Amino acid sequence: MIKLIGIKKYFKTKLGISHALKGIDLQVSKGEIFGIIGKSGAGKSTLLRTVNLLERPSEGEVILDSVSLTSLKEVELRKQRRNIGMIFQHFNLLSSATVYKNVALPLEFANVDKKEINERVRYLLEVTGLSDKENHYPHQLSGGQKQRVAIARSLASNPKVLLCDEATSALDPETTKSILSLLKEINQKFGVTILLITHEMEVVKSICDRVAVIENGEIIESSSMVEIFSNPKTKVTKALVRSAFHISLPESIEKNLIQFPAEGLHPILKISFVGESANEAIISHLVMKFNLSVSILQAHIDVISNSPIGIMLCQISGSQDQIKLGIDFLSQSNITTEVLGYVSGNIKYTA
Amino acid sequence: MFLETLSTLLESTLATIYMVIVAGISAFIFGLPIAIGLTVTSKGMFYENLLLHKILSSIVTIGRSVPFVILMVAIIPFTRFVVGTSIGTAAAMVPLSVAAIPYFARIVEGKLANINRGLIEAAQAMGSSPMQIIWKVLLPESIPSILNSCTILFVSLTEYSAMAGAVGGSGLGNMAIQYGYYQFNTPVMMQALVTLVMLVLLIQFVGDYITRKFSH
Repeated sequence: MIKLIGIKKYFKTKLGISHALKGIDLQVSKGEIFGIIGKSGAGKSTLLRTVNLLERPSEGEVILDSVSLTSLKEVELRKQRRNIGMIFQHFNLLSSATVYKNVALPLEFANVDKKEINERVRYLLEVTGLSDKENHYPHQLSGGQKQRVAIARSLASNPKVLLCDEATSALDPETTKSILSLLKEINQKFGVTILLITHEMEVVKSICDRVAVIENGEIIESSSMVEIFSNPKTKVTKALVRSAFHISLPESIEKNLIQFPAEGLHPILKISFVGESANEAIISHLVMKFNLSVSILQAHIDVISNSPIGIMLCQISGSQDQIKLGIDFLSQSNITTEVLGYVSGNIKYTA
Repeated sequence: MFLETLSTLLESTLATIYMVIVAGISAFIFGLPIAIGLTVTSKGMFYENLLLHKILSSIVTIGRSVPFVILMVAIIPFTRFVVGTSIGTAAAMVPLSVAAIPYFARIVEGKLANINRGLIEAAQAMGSSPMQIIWKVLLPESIPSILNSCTILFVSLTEYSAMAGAVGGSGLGNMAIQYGYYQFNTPVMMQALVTLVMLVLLIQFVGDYITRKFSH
């Protein structure tokens, strides 16, 4: 549906050329919700805006539904942009126009006749739950309602793709949830492909099918949701996953971690289960088969893309040989195990 | 005493109002497009053209920098060409308009620059043409601030019309100086002065009211 090929973007500044995007290849399939996550300044906003050429890439090609947008003339590009809806962090509604007028705007741009506009706007206001707000002005609405108006507006011209530029970053958690479920609903109801950027893993976790991690203008990791959560490869991704699961060692323990095994030290493991293995009783396996004692420090289970995923931090103690066998056993099964470090004695929790 | 000068006062007030309205309308008609031109050719806008922007901006600045008294005298040939005479109400309107155009353009440009760029971007993302952005986004969004600029324009014009009138021989300014100041007739001068002040207050009041009506 969307294909980005070798997208580069550089800006000339006083200090020389700064590279915002360093050659990005990305492919988003029809009907999917694709998330791009990264810290601020990573280039995600610039990347999103190259898709509808609000930001023209310095190099590379943007293809939408087998039409190469980058090679289009201005007038043709305008027509193609009607296939791409966009919503923004700060909504960008006309303050001088009512909700109705705001939603009608893209249709007026496309010179659709009044009667058709009326039908379409009424329908979209119904879908987004704003029918009673038709004659309100944006300043009379809450943040969530404003974003709903923006969503209705973005859908007015029946787009194939919806771009979301930090669409929930200005909203509180409760409203974020309702906006995300509206996006999901739209994705399923109208088959709109959604490409969203965010800095919050929570957002990605709750609606995306696939995700790409962007850092310093490059995509450093891109895979399915389950894969990225159960087996993050880069440091940035690991940090993001941690933030979504709220799993991390207390600082006092983290500081005293010893990186190498030795006599009298007990390893702290991070165990990630995905799918079926999340249901297996691996802890009791460790205890019974290898005669180890396992103390769970933290654990979290979630459902991502319909498959259960769990992350657990635990400390194992027992004889060195048995510990090694136990870890080998875990690695052989469908469980990702990572030794975070070693501590002496048992961890005492002081919360 | 008061009644004797009443007809002069009425005549002068009408002349002032006439000057202000005509100059105001021409400032609006010519100034607004210049302001839009300045806005859309500025950096990062859809008609970005820094050379054109610089030229337009320089013309506006030059227009604004010539002191009004000098401008009035300097463009007398132009005034003659336009209205056929260099004295009277009609002749005063020409320099008034010439001065008001860049003045209004500069105020409105400042207001248009405050429009949230995100709105323009959103409109572009919807597939709008530059003209559609001007008509359906830029102008509607700035109606309250353009109305506010109009109020400032009309108040300033009332002020300047007194000066133009004094030189050209009509309006309240002329009355205050010719019949009041030069003939040591303080009451006449006060009459003209109070009427001018009332006029300004009225413009400000009506302007504020209309601006509020259009603000959302």
